Amino acid sequence: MMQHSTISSSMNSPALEIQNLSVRFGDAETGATIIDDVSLKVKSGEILGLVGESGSGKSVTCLAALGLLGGSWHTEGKVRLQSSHGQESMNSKQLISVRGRDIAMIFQDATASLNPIKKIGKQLTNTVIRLQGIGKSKAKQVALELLRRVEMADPEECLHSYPFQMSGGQNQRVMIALALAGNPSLLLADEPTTALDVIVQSQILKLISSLRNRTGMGVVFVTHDLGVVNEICDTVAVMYAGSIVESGTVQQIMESPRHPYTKGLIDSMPTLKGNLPDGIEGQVPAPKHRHWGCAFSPRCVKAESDCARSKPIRTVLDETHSIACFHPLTDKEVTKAPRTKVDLTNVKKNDDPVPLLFLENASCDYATRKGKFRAVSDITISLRFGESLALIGESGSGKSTVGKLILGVEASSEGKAHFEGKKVPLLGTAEHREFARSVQLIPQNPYLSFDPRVTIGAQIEEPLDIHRIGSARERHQRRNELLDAVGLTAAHGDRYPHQVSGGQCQRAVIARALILEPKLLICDEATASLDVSVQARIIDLLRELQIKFHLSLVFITHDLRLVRSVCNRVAVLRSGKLVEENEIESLFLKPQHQYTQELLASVPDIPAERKNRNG
Amino acid sequence: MGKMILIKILRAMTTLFLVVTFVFFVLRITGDPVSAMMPDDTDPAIMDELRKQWGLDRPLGIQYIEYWRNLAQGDFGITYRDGRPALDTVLERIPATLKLSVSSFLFVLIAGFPLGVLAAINRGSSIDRLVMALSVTGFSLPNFFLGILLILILSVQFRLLPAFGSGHWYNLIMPVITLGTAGAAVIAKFVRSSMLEVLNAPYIRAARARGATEKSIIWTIALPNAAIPVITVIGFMVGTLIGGSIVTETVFAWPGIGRLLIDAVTSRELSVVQTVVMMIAASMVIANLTVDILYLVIDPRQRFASGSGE
Amino acid sequence: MSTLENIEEFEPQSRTGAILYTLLGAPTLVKIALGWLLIVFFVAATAQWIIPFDYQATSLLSRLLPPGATDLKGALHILGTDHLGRDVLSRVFVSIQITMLVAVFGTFFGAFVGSAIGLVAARFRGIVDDIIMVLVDFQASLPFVIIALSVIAVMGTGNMLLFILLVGLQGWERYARIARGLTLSAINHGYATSIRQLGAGTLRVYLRHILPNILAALIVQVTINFPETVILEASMSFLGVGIQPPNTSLGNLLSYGRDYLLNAWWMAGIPGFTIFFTTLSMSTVGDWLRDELDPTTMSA
Repeated sequence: MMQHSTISSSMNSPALEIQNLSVRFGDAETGATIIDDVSLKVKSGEILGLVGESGSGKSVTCLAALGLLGGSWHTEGKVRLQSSHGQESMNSKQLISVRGRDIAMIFQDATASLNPIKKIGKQLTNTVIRLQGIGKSKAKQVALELLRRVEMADPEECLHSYPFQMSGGQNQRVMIALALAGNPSLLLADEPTTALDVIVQSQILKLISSLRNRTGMGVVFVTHDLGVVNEICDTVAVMYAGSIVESGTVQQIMESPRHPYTKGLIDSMPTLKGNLPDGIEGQVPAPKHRHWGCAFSPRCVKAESDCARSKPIRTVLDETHSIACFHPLTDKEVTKAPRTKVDLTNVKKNDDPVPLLFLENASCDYATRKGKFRAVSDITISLRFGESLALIGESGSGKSTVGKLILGVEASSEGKAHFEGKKVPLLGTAEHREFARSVQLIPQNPYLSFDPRVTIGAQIEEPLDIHRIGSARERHQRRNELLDAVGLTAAHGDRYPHQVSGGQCQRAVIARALILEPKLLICDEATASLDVSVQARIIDLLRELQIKFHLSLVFITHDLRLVRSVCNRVAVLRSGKLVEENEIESLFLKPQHQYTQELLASVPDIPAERKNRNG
Repeated sequence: MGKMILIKILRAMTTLFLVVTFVFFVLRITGDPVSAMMPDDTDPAIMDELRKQWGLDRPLGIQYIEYWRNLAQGDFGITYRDGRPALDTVLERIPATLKLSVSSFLFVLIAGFPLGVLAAINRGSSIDRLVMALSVTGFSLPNFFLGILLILILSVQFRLLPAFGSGHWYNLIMPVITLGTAGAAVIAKFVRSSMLEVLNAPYIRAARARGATEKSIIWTIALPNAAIPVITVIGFMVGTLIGGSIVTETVFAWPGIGRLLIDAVTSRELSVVQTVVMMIAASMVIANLTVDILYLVIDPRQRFASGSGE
Repeated sequence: MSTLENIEEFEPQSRTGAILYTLLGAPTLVKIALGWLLIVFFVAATAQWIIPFDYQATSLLSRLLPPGATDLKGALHILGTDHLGRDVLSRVFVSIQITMLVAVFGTFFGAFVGSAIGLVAARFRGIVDDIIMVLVDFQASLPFVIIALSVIAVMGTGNMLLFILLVGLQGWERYARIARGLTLSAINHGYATSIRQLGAGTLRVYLRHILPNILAALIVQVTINFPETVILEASMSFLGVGIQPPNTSLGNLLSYGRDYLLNAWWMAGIPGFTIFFTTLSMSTVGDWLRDELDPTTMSA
């Protein structure tokens, strides 16, 4: 059983203290331990960043603190909250009285977290009435006031709207207003900005930070993005496989990480300065398959035999910095400079006057029920053989539509789209069959692009079968070569897509795209659904293949940090129009358009320099 | 919203148009009404005379237009047996059918909805399993057999209720259970799954995180959201009830249009058949239209879907 | 919870092995249901060889014998006799044969026609799709029994082939909807696009990839549709507009039995329970199969 208790409020006492929290899913024999002995402390007015890859147990920790885990979950440990009630231990019924009042939570998908069939005003007023025990007319006033506090552009209008009529960012503000309705002393924020565009994300981060300053509440900010952590947090706890492996102030963690996993995460982060992200080999284990001893040891570069024998216990490095590792990094290892920007000069270039890809004043319309909708208009882009272009834009900018024009999935309604001087044929036509050998797509979700009922290997071979290239044995050999080239083994070829991890599946998709030896590869948010440690390695692979196979890339992404290490040109799109296009260095150093400047300023980035402990 | 209702009404009219066309072609193309009606050994000359008299020798297109004109004037043909207008024969049977189907409809809702909710909020418990077992049983039990079972048990064995008759309210009990059980089973199952889906939605978790009590979450958030998709199934239910009433009325000798239809089919009284089919189609179309409009009223997402905006 | 997703190593196993494995792990209730269906299908396949009596032979002297009674000649009637002295067991067996014949052929006919229509709608889109969807909506809004009855009213009773096709068509619109919906989702944001992108032609995409993938959903729909077809056939025969004498189906038996409820419950009860157990078993197996074939457990 878990003990919940409150601590009487006094300055500098922790707003939340979690002691020895363990969470198991399922029964003792067949179940799995999700959270293993986690202890945390958040002071009033402090923002704690809880970071780690997916599957590390960040969200479960928050839900456990709220007592929100369902019947199959078993929790042990102590959760103490700062409350007006004084110190008392609480059972789950009493927890209901704490939720919303002393502790509140906001979630990643704000739109889905609001009742879809009730007006926002009503949801907010009802919550205020329940939490503050005041009358309806007064509650309406409070609701309006709350919307002002979260800096909603038009609070009156918002009251009369349904969640589906608002944007994701606006709904996240509503969620925050709802969370503030009970004047909590602690806010749990579970990836609240992950689904948002970068400019909106930056606004929400500023809002949370300023609310913290005004109310003095403590915040636990769950995220996988170290850039966000660097932007908003005071302290950080790094989680891996259900345990906290390192915690400290944001400076300590970002500038002198001591745990190999923390450093691995930081080195995996792409940056605006164009560091080449390193990645971590392997993947987060499923809870049932966690390694005995240090769970990270199978992926750790510093692992020795003792790491597998017992679980490292938490050791305190200094007052604020602690770590659970047998072989912490030395000063020298910490300061080891990250790999710098990749040299793309050795990519074979062609002096051919005809560009590989040429879009001239291209527009694309979609037919909708309400008539035509112009997704992109007047796009002019040219790309030479061996060059790589980044298409940057927020959601709805039309960046994916440009990709579809290049692939022949959509026809341009005005202007032209040419590949090697010839018009891009439309998908489904006889000409497209031949064209398909030259241009291939790497989509965001690798699982969706594979037939779930055919083995990966057979699908990698399939393009050769379609184009009647080679004998069965040659095809098989070629498939194994490509599996090898993308860092997989022949054994992976015999598996079905759902039997491999996301990163491995994306590698297989790349192998299939490359088997026809294309000249141009379109990567449409190809790494967006992967963990940073995996993303870094896929980026690395793409870069390597780019050189090895003389590929040109069109890299479609919303993440500006990704492109500087892979591309030589950038095009910025906004609402279907090309805002700015330039050489990558010039654009990053001297952005011309105001929108580009705003985008660059909004990107949460990690510090470039790393110091040793004494420096 | 007005525009959307207009579209729905247009679609309903298209369906009705299709029904009339379907009936016309089934009657005129797949068979010849004269030879269908007359004994096989009738003199061909008399048959030809009849065809001419009924205008069956004219081109199909003309006949089709003629058909519509007659329908518009309320002329659904006359019965072969006693020469009365088919429409009158059908209309006098409607009250009995209406009584049976409306009662069954209420039974479906009153039995199905609470059982589904009960099963969902007690997911995995013995209550849930019991409701699900009842649902599968109710769905698999053919209504003609259920009717016979009820007669066997309640009338023959325990002599609680008369097996036939339609005068008293208690005459309704067995037919209503017979007709409504399958529907109630479907509704219970659907309400349960809709409710479970809603209870798993992020907005329920968010409400819990704000300290809302489980009771208020179920009644004020989950139930209204879960009820919306159920409306569609309730629309389908009207069709199931009308289809099922044919069998039920036969089992209990209930004097409604279902039994009339069967009698008309076996005695090949085509004018009655076409009248009943169109009546049923019309009531189905009206039921579906009501459901569509209900959707617009209840679900804001539908209402604003193609309204002004983005 | 994504935390529990198992992304560890898997060993690919053979498909037949997997099927056998799932069957063995099925709940007892499902095993009983499968057993009953096995018996029903066995009886349907062998009825003419295993019936103890001629199912049409009347004997006025041994009318309405209760189950387990012996007639004047000393022959045992396990399930009794009917109002004409015919052996109920033999008649039930022969009826099972006809009922299953109609249900199996009808179901597959309907499944084939419906799925084909759905695939055509998804492949050609545009006006073809619109027309098909109007027809689907039309069908969904009219109880099928009404359509069947109006066709029978015109064509007359007694045409077995017509009856099978008619009963089978019941539910075609749901196959069409499923086939169309799944195909569209595969084309719009799934593997089908990727494979087309590689230069594959329509035939390859549809036959090699889409069809095997939507087959599971169609099979589940068959298990839902099959009991409905059984019930529709029995209802129509019960109403006297389905299978005609001298042929006999479970619905016919029930309709004769209705007149003898007072003194011979077995005449209606036995065919009634046979239908009920068959539809119940099929639904039970179908529910279980739906969980087993759940696409969320098949594709990541």
